[in-house]
Amino acid sequence: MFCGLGDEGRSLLTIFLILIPTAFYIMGLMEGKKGYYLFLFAILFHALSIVLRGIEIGRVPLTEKHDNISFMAFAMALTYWYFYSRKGMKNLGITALPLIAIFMFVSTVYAPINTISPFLKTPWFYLHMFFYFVSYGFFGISACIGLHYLFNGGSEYESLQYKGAIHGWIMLSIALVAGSIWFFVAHGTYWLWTSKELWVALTWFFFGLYLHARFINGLKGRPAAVLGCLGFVIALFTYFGVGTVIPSPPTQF
Amino acid sequence: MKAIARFFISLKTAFGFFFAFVVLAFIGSILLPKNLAFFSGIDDIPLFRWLSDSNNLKLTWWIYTIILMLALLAISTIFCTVEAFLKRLSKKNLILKLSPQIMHMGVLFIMLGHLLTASIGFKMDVLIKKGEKKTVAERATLYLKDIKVQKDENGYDTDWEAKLLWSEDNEKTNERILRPVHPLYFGQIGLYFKSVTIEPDESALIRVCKDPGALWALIGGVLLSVGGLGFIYARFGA
Repeated sequence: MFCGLGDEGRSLLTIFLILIPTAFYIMGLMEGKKGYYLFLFAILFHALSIVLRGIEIGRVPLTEKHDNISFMAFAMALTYWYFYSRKGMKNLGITALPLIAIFMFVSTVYAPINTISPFLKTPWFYLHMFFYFVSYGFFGISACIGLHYLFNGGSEYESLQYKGAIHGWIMLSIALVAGSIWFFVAHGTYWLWTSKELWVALTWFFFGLYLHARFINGLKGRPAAVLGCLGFVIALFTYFGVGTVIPSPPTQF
Repeated sequence: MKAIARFFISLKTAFGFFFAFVVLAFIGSILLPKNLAFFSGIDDIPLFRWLSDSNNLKLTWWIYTIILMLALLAISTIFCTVEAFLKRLSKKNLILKLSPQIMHMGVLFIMLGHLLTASIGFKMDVLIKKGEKKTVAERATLYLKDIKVQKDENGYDTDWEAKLLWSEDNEKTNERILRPVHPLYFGQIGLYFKSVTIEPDESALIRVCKDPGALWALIGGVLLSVGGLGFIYARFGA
């Protein structure tokens, strides 16, 4: 029972709270101030949906895919907002807003899970998840800026793509440190030889590669921008593809 | 010597090592699930011992190559950091210049931690029944006094705890409570609750391990995070 609603009512509320901001994100594509205000409505409703979900399950909603993907979209929306309002990137919405809406929609594909394993009941786990999906928010918007640079040019876009990626990479580094601490206090080890761990490390090294490539003659500019965009594809594959496309059975648990 | 230094300082070299790691990790992620029986014990003992016991280069070559790449990357990182300290460090924009080097040092400490974890230490899983006493390290014994399991309305285990007695050399005895994500430490040895069984016997599966690399990796992690945040502040925040 949540807010006086039964299970059926709750599912309707969950879908409603996801679809409303999704619709506003898409309407944010409208030109001018109208589009901007609709985007702000989307953020407001999205934040509300996250808070209500947290109240429903009684903890920070970052423990399963439905909530995680929604939070990833939220992080992306906030990053977009920053680049829109502070850096004047008015035409970034054409790639960023549909991407955010797609993630919102994808989150509804996964059924909400309200139980939690005792191994996740530590602040280190929540810190790990928080920074992990914040990093995805930066990587996503950085890739959108990169695409804009690749199609339209402009050195300021290349520079902003780098800015987004380095923020994401540092957030990912913090996420991995917090995740290692969580796993160590839970299982007595901070590294496992599984495909998932290898792909997470691969993502970190790939963005390291992009950040170095930017300063190498011959790779500066467009080639480095392509690497930055590819990094986001790799990050997405790490989250969605490993475990489904590439199996990642644990070797000991 | 200058040529070697130039090689390791070069950004192209670092790029090459990063690229090699990416390719090797990709290959490993394909090989691991395809040969799960072979890799099943890889996380149970320190890596170098597992590699020497497994004796199968056809399936482990990529791990050796990853280790080699990381070693070369560590050398490259040391050269770059030393060069930065010798040549570029000045009081102007100190945080901006220092923070990438702090991150580099963090990466080096993490590598050192992994090296120690892979070389020394031990891990063992102990299945212990209620009222049973087991020897878990050279001179230490563990006695399981009691187990409690909390369930929700659907019968799902939400939490559990075990009351343990730990003694060394049959002398001092410590009574402590072990719970998931709340490990117990006795000197360098850590106890971690893996799972609990109520039927047919009340028993606990406890991981006992000693990981001398963890502290170094933690120091590295802190340096990497602090350096990263310092870089964001100095480059974009100020």
